[in-house]
Amino acid sequence: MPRFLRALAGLAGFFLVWEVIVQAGLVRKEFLPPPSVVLVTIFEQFGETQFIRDLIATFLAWAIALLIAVAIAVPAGLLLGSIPGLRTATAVVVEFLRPIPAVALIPLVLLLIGGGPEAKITLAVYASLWPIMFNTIYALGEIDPVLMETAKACGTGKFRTLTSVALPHTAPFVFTGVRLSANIALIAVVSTEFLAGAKLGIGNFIMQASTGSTRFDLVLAGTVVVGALGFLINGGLEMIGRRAFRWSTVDREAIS
Amino acid sequence: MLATLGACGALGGEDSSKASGGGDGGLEKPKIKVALLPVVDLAPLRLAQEGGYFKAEGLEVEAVDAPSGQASMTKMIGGEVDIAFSTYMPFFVAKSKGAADIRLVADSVSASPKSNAVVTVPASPVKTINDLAGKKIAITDKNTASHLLTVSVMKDHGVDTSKVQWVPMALPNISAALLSGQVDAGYLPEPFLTQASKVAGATPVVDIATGATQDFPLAGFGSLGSFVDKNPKTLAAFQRAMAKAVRDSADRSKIEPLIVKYAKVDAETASLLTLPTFGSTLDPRRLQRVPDLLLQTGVLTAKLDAAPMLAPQAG
Repeated sequence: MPRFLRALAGLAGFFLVWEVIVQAGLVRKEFLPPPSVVLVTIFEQFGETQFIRDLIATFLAWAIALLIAVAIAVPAGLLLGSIPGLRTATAVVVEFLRPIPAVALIPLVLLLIGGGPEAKITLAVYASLWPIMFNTIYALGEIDPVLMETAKACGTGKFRTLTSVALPHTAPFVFTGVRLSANIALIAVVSTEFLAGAKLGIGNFIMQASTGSTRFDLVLAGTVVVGALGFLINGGLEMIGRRAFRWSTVDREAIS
Repeated sequence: MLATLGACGALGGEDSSKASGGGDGGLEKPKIKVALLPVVDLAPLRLAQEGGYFKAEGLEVEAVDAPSGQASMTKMIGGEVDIAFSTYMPFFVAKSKGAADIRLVADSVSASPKSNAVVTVPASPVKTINDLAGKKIAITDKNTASHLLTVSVMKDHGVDTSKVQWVPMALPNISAALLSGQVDAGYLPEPFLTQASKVAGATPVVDIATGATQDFPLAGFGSLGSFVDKNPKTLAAFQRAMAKAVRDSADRSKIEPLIVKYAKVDAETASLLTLPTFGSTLDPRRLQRVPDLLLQTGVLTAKLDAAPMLAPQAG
């Protein structure tokens, strides 16, 4: 927990700098309301059912997208990681698809599947597939050959080796991929809501506040709430990861 | 997973309440989706929604937000919504390009005096409309209402528009751009007009609702030919509810809270801003001014007749 508190202290410092910049008149309050105003606005918005519904819609879309991404990317990663021929054959396609930003696919997705929640979920799945898949492939490649040989020597079957040797080893890597993807999925969901318009969602809330209005405090309120959501999601996953994979050192090694 | 998705009205997708809604007035489609923008222009529609005017007609209107008129129209062409709100320009451009069989369903707003203007700030070199020639003018985008109406007003006053640098910009950013000298003038509709005068001391150089663009039709609701032909009763119900809402919009006290709520304008600005002229029934002769302006400004290359694009008008 102290780590969590230290992180919050940093955030408080950030808000303080922001407050000072605005109060000193370096930026006009009308264009960049200070945190003292924005935090009050956030507090007010939490009393609005519409805002709560936006928040829930974004969170649900995010959660569904991440689950689907895991369900696709982990088996795909295991498959590609354990069959080198397949991996070589698909490498070019994967390297071609991976750098395409999810938001660049918005027009295509709108035409193909419409602009409902399916659109943001699809794009978030697309964006968050890659880190999970790559971490899975990478983890399989990193397994100590001695472990695998030992399993083989003991007459362990292929499936058994996969489930009791390969998976426990890869799981922490895969989980790191999931953690990276969690934020990517959130970005994709909110950007799609913002750029394509939706019925509900925080991105939609920010879009409405920014295109139709003179209320920059609402724009920033939405932005800060998305930031807080990302912070909580990452913190939550980090905690789960530390508990679930006590034996692993991956979390300390991997880029987070 | 599918069950989760299906159960999630919270996601903002298809509502499970589809079967409900008092659709026994014999409407072909008792529940329609309309793509909307967070703008002052839509106050009457919000009134019709919140005041139960649509419900009284047996119609349920579900709002889908869009970031721009163009996006709103795209949602309609893509089949996500039945009716789209936009300024008139994208509708006519799409029709002339053959992109879609656009029909205009209901009017929304026209330029009223002091609701749209080209503005300047005290520090800008632009003092009168004659100074606009060759300057940097902020507009929302090329070939939008903001661009073409500014061109039209300048031409009315004999000001050369050929050397103007048009700077595309989101409306909320224009007052900051004026203050920093990034642009010399800018086109602003309400509520940005009131906001800019408050924040940046912006003053109008010329009111848009003058000369050739007096009472100019600005925005309305469009649909596709296929929808219009299949759903005459649904459309008539929509039009009747809108007509009533427009009549009741004369009472400003009914409108202001809706502007605060939906157009996300602060209460003080909402009380100060000049409302556009709300309307609901489309008049082909008046509407013809839009494609005519598009033709004059070279956006359209051939004359486009507005009358055949109009859906039958109720009452």
